[in-house]
Amino acid sequence: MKIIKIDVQNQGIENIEVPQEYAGLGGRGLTSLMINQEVPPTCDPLGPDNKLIFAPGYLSGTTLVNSSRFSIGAKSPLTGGIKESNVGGTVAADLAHLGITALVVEGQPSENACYLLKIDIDGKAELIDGGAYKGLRTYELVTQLKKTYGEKNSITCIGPAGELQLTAASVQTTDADGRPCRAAGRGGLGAVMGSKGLKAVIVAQGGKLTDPLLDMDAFKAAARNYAKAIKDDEGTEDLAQLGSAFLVAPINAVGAFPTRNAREGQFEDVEKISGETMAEVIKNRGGKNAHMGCAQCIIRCSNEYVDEKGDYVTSSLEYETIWSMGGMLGNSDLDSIAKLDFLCDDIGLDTISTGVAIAVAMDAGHKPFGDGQAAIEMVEEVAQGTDFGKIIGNGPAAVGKHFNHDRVPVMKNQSMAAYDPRALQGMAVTYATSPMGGDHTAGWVVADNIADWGGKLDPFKAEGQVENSRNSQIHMAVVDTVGICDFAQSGFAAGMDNACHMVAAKSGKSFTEDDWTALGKRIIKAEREFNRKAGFTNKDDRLPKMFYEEPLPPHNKVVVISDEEMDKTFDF
Amino acid sequence: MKIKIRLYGTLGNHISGHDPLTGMELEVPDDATAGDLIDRLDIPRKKVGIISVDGNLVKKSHPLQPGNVVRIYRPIAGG
Repeated sequence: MKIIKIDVQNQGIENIEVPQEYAGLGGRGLTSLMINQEVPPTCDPLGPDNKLIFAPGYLSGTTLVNSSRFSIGAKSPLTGGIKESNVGGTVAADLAHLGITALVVEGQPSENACYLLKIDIDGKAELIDGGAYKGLRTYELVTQLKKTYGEKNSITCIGPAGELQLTAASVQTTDADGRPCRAAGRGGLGAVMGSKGLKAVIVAQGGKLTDPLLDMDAFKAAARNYAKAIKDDEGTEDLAQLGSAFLVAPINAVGAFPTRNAREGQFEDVEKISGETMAEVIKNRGGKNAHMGCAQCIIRCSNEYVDEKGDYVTSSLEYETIWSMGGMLGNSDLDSIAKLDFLCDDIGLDTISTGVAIAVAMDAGHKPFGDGQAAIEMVEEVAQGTDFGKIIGNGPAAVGKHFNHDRVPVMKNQSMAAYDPRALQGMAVTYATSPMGGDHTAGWVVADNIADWGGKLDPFKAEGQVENSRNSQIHMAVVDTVGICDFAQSGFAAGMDNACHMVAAKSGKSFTEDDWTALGKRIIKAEREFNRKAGFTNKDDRLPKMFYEEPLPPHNKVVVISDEEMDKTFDF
Repeated sequence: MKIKIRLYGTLGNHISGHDPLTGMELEVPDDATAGDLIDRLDIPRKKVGIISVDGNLVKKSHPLQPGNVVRIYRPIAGG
């Protein structure tokens, strides 16, 4: 249980015991509480006072399945508020196996400095000159780093977009096959990493320094129950067969698939980009469905998309990217969507923000909707660092400003995801009020809004939406803290008390369902406190006017949650 | 009467003659509903999420017409 502080200003490295105030925390809970405590809210997110924090989930590194989630936190240069973006791959488990609770990167490096942060098998950190790797895209970077430092490392890194400090820049990390195709995409944390002069974090795999579990037997029993519930869940089979892309067809069917910069809620060519089509294309070309992308995954929602010759294009092609580079652009060419996914990973860009940025450009008339090749050229411009490329790389709001175009679907400057809030009012609450900005994972209330998916709320009415989103957001704050994969939440069918037993078995202290909820509230309160001090007010918990004024076909509804109701979301 | 059916997600895995990309044609009684179709294919109803007929969401009690395109989706979860 140690935190390693890395000061890039004087290249100092300090190991400290986890302070009592952060005890029992990992992932988002740790990054958010630490940022609220230690980062001046009004600081320049790309300046010396911001901190970039990497933290495995509290249960990462244990034997629990699907627990290798890695939280990255900082003040966001995109939203200007607090940010936690989490990612799978292997690094969370690898770092936890070295007994490391968090890496905290501080200060501002000298101009043009470029570092690698290496954590060896003994958990010792070292800053190494990385000047030779400057400007490299992530796939080439990882190939070179593995040649120099060995295959048995996970690598978390930025591409050219992060080095350019663009606010749609992601932090990429390697998957179970060692490819840098897993993204902590949201909030421009790649730019913060770039501002610290940090090109990559190399973490030794196979460590034997994992924090002890204080009640091993209780943990094993609860972890077994959790895994069984995932295996028993019928949705697990859909995820293995189609990945998250299984969502494309049903979300389109309910009219909530934002199309052509959210002018429509259904895409007429959806069959060409559906999960069913994707899985068939992958199978027929010799790619891989049901691919294991992350450590200890028993769901296997990943895939390897290949071209007509059977050569690797990208991994993993997911729902959000199929939307942002497909439906949102009116683009029905799955091959170009896959290529765009690869380019974003390689350049180090959030596929959601980048796709929506391109959608805004197309909506403003820069290029026609449906032109996948034009989208590819725009993304390539980001890597080239052209003036227009930098605008795209700074996300949808920057593009809207450039074209003086006000149809920009962002909340707190971060683009929404692949669920239109006019057809699912619950998502309006989550998008508007999450301290993270437009974010679907912060409180995914989609199924709750559709009766045939077990939901009890009317997707076009305000009733119950605020309370439901509140509860979901509180719950998710803890899911992101313990480090359980969003798709593995089916494991909660074994009981919330079962999940709480795992936390208690690690800490050796009682942890009840009430404690779970209290922790979620504590995290969100800290995040909102940071945002308030950074200058946010209730007016920032709103949607752009397009969602209140433009009815969305086919249901022709607008968002009906009032400002007063939005302001009741966090009533604690 | 003849109708066309498309099964999404894992629903079509064990249905003989169902193509994951184009579905299949079926002969059903003239008074069949969407729910009857699900039963006829031996799909447990709890495995079914939304149903659409010619692009419109319907309930299981919805009566079918000749030539309808019936799409049946799995329940969803995730993010």
